[in-house]
Amino acid sequence: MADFTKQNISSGIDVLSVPVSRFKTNEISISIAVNLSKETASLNAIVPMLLCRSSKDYPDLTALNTKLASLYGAVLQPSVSKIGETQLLRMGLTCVDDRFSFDNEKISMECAKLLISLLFEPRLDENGSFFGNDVEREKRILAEKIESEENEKRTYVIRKAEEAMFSGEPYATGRYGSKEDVAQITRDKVFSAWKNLLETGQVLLTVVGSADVSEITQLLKACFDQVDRKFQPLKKAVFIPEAAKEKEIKESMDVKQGKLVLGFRVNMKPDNELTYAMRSFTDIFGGGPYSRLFTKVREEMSLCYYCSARYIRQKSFILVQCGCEEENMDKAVSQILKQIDEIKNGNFDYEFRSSKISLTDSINSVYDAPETLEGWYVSQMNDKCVVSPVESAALNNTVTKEQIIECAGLLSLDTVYKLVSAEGVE
Amino acid sequence: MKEIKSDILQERYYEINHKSGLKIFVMPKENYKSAYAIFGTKYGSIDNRFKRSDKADYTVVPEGIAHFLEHKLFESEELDAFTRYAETGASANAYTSFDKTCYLFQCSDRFEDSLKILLDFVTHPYFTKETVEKEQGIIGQEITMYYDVPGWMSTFNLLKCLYKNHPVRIDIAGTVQSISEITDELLYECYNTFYNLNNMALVVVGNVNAEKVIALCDEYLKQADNVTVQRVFEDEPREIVKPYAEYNLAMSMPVFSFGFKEACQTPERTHKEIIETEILLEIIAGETSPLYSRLFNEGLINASFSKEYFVGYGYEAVIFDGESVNPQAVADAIKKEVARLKKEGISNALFETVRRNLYGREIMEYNDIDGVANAMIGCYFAGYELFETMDIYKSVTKEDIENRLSHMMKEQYSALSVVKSKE
Repeated sequence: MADFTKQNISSGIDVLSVPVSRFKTNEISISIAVNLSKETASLNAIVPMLLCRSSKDYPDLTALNTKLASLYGAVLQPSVSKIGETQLLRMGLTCVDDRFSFDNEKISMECAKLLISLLFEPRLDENGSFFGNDVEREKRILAEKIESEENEKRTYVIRKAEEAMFSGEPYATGRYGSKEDVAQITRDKVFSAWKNLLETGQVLLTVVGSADVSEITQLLKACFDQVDRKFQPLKKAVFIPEAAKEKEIKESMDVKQGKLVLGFRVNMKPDNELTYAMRSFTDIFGGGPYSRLFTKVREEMSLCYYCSARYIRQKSFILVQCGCEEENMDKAVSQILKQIDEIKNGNFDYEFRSSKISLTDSINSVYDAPETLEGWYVSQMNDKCVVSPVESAALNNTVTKEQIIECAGLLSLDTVYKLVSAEGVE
Repeated sequence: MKEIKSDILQERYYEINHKSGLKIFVMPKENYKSAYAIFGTKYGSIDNRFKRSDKADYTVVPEGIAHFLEHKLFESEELDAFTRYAETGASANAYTSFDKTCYLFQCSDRFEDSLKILLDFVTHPYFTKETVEKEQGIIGQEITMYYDVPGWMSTFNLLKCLYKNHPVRIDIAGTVQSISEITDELLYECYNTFYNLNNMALVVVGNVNAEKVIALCDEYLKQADNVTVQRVFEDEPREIVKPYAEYNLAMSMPVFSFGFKEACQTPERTHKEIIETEILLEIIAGETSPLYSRLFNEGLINASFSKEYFVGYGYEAVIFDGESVNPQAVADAIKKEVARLKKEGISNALFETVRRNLYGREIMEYNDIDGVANAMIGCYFAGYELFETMDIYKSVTKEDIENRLSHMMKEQYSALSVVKSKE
């Protein structure tokens, strides 16, 4: 079922639209993807944040926010994420559909124009560069975002485990880069980064709703026609099929509860046709409440307060995270590994049946919120072939027990990361 | 069955007084694939002292028992609810807040089978001494986990600064000590008091029709005893407990909550008062306000800054929270801005901008079936009608807001809570 359309409008620039009228809103976003690297991560990350704070027409925060408010509370959101070894810089706008305006205003077109103008017409000084104050403010905010992730211990331990596991690979770099790199940013560098994103990045415009896609596309195309495009296709993520040798890292900190993270290499490239089976495997292993990590390690053995697994297809790895007291950590590790062996031995009929129904059900639910629908498609930006939720659900139903067993054999433990309470360390 | 329509929202829902005593709301959403159901009781962490209509005295129970009960209700003598949902594919969950406990699921297939499970397990408790003991360990770990979450600690420490007696000051899950006092008998006592269908509601939103929901309720629900329950609280003084609290965690950026305790002369606020206050908060510290822009540009707040009208039975506060290098400076700036607005009044332009902003945001809420269902059950327990919100936004005036402001946010009833690294 073709519930979306994707068209290429120029080299490295695509438009993906999901025409739906059931929502009250239009979700319009522009995403730019570039290769993730330590040298540029912080610099790129600051660009969408800076661009969404002010512009040539709306020179300060209050002016821009007042404009958004007058567009019936339109929500402007810059975001930075990583998809495999791609850094994704996104500017999204959500607005109520035109049918709710007081006097037939074209809210969605106004919003699309605003979004595009933010990307192409930033606030610049008389010399054509960003204002120093603006850049310094965004540097501070970016540094605070990095600190804020450190404050949340669940996020922090995942970040630390990834740094250790992918040392020497681009994936070790966080989506915002590092505080040290943020400190090195200058307004000239940001200006070059902005230009570089427009010239070389892979661009995706998405529209979810009933807004006029062709009109928005024309607007965007006209702006990119003014850019000297030198599109550089994205590199593939470094693929390491097996862990060389197991690493264990232990950190102690002033925390009340310990955390445990296990990173597994997965011997399967992102475009392998078995990735659907790997998604099922991960769900059976540590996804839903029927998963082995939940029912055995958490409920039966009470080793962890939470214990779940996540498959990062684009970088070929699986991450297990748990809230766990230090005295239980070694036992938890061995029990987590034991669950993989149980799956290898074929002991997962109940979990498999449950997972199949549950995954299909939740994939179909993607259709019922515009932001999840948009996220679904944007996350496939690097894929040659875009799959709709309904197609993905159909693929899920073809997965066999033998494939799951095969998938279980493709994991190798790479890194064990332990965060323990400082009082518990000798 | 009553139909309630909103022309502005282009939505409708049905309200049903079921013969069992249960209140049911159904909002069908055209062209949605999934449905979201929520079955809740007006019973939360603040309900530690209560009086049943068929008893002479009031009962006092340990802190955290509502949340404990929520965990235990998923179990039964045979299959636990999660195992049963695993057969239908629904994704299920539950939560306990200060004033309600809700059980929910979302699914895109086999809705009726999942609704049967929901109606069945919530109306069939099964607690034993052994299962209660096991749960004490699990919940103990959950409570400890929150001690490492800066925002959570900051909020509860603020509530402890503002409230002396009202149980809103206590962690929803209780403490390791208080939950150790919970027994299977106490759980049954609370269950039989608060899980009476007269004290509960069922809301279903999405790909559903009302007749199906009613038919299943006819089949699964028995008529409830005619017992009502009354909340009994110790008197709460107008004064705060203390103006400042600090808690240390390993972290780089301080997190704060700054709040004003409000008079709360009667236990509940009207729908209009709530919306007026929300508009007021947007005027004081929303993204279009001069205060927000100033604090942001001075580096005192970032995108994590937020404000909330924190209101429920017997408690009422205005809370601002976020991350800041200097929480005290943020608190001072808020106090100063409140004083300025009280003196100078609110500008027409800002009022209109904020009203249009919130009006649009309210419409957006109707995209998500989970958001609508949760809002609906919250409104019902608080005694409001959901669609009324839009009408209030349309009719409210700047003078209403100024009048509201004149009674609120008094400096002597404010407190600041900060979570930061040890110095």
